[in-house]
Amino acid sequence: METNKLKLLRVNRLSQYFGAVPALVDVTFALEPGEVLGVVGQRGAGKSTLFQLLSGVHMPSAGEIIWDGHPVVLKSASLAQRLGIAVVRQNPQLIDNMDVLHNVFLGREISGPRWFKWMPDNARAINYL
Amino acid sequence: MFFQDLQKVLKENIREYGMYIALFAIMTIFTITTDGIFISSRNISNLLNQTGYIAVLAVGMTLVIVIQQIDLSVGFLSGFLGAIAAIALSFWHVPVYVVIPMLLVLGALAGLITAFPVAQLGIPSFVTSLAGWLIYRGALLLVTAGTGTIIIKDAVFNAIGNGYIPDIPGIKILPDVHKVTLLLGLAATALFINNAISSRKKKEAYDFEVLPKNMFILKLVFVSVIAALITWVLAGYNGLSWTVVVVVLVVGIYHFITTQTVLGRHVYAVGGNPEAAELSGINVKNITYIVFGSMGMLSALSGILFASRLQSATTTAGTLFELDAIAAAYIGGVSAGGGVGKVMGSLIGALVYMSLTSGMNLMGIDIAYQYVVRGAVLVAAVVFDVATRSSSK
Repeated sequence: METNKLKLLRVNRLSQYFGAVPALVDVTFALEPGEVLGVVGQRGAGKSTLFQLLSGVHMPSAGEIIWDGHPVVLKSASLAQRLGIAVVRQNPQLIDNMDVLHNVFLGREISGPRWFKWMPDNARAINYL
Repeated sequence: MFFQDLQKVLKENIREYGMYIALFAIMTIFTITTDGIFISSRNISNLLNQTGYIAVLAVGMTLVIVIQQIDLSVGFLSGFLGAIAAIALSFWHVPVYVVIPMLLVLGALAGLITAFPVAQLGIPSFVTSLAGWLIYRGALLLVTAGTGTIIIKDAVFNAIGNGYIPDIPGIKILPDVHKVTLLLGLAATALFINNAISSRKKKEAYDFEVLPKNMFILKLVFVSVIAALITWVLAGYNGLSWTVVVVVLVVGIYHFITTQTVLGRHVYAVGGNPEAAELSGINVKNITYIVFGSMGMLSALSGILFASRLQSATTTAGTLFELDAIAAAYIGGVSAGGGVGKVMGSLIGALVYMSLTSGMNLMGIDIAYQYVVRGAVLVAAVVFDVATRSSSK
């Protein structure tokens, strides 16, 4: 269990069923801070479902998500985002009338002091990227 | 070279510049057809004061339409709250400095009530605000039932719709000109030029696309000349009216919120794709409440401006204001598809709309034809909007 402390995100036997249809069965993995993990699979393999569970869009049918050592229940996208789990989505879930930069930062804009949320300059955001 | 640049810039930005050009064209036509009466200081001053109560509604309506909703209740809400203001001032003798904030709060509450079924139950805002339209119309008739028209005698309140900012006394130069207006006009122009140059420099530093230099200068000169003209025309009559000051403040604040803050960004995100916005962690319900709340508050402000202008509350105040505001927003480039529309555009839309009324009144055109012309302009504006959108993408 000692190694658990180093992991930022652990996913334990995560499963999702839509009715009787299994979309995702028993997924288990762990991520350290700064680690990059690619998830590869065929259409229908459950990649999107996995990300929907991690970003709080759906609640898993079974299994647990452990964030920074604590099991979490991700009831909403904003809750996941507050913890630090954010997703940049693909086509149908983008905002057409905004440019790429603003889509990437949507819901997690770089803002000034908390009491007054200034929008970031494009330029500042580009530095950030 | 110059004309090629001009043509290219106009073509690329036709959506943005279209309504400015339209406003300019309409004003030129009316100036010619009325032998210059239209552009006279007195008429322009009147025109701006009449535009005030529609313009503030159009600003709020912009955000409502941007999030793919509509608010039909704003007209009679504005009339009803105007009547409440008159009753508070004339019968209850509440001080004007209490009445105005109280009214703005009441307006915001009314907006939240309209938003409640929309946000919580997903009921179309057309229905809830239509209910509001009926209810506030009834409420207006109810509170004015015993008295009919209520005269307002409060000088401070009436100044909002009829008064002008004071001038510096005792200066001998330019005796017939309002000096403070002139100075404010100059200051605003200088501020605009300064901002334009600094934002251009910032963009250049990061290799963003900017206008060609000669076009940039042309734009600055054009805006400065227009600003100078408006300033000179207004300074030649009574100067800046308080109504214009209120409208400039409202437009300035909303322009800032929509272009410079996270809240504004989220409003446009919700309008562009509500589901995607929700998935990105934006609270769509909250945005709905904020937008309708602000709409209600601006309805109250519109009611104040109108009651103040008439120096009374009437039983029919606010009739058709909502449709005028919606028309102004559409003329100003707000898209029915949601997510697209600027506050500044709606202000220009309101000016175009009221210029048509004012100009045709001066020409003595029958009211029947006036409605037809206004309808035609609305259709033309929306067709222009749709046509330029598909070609620019």
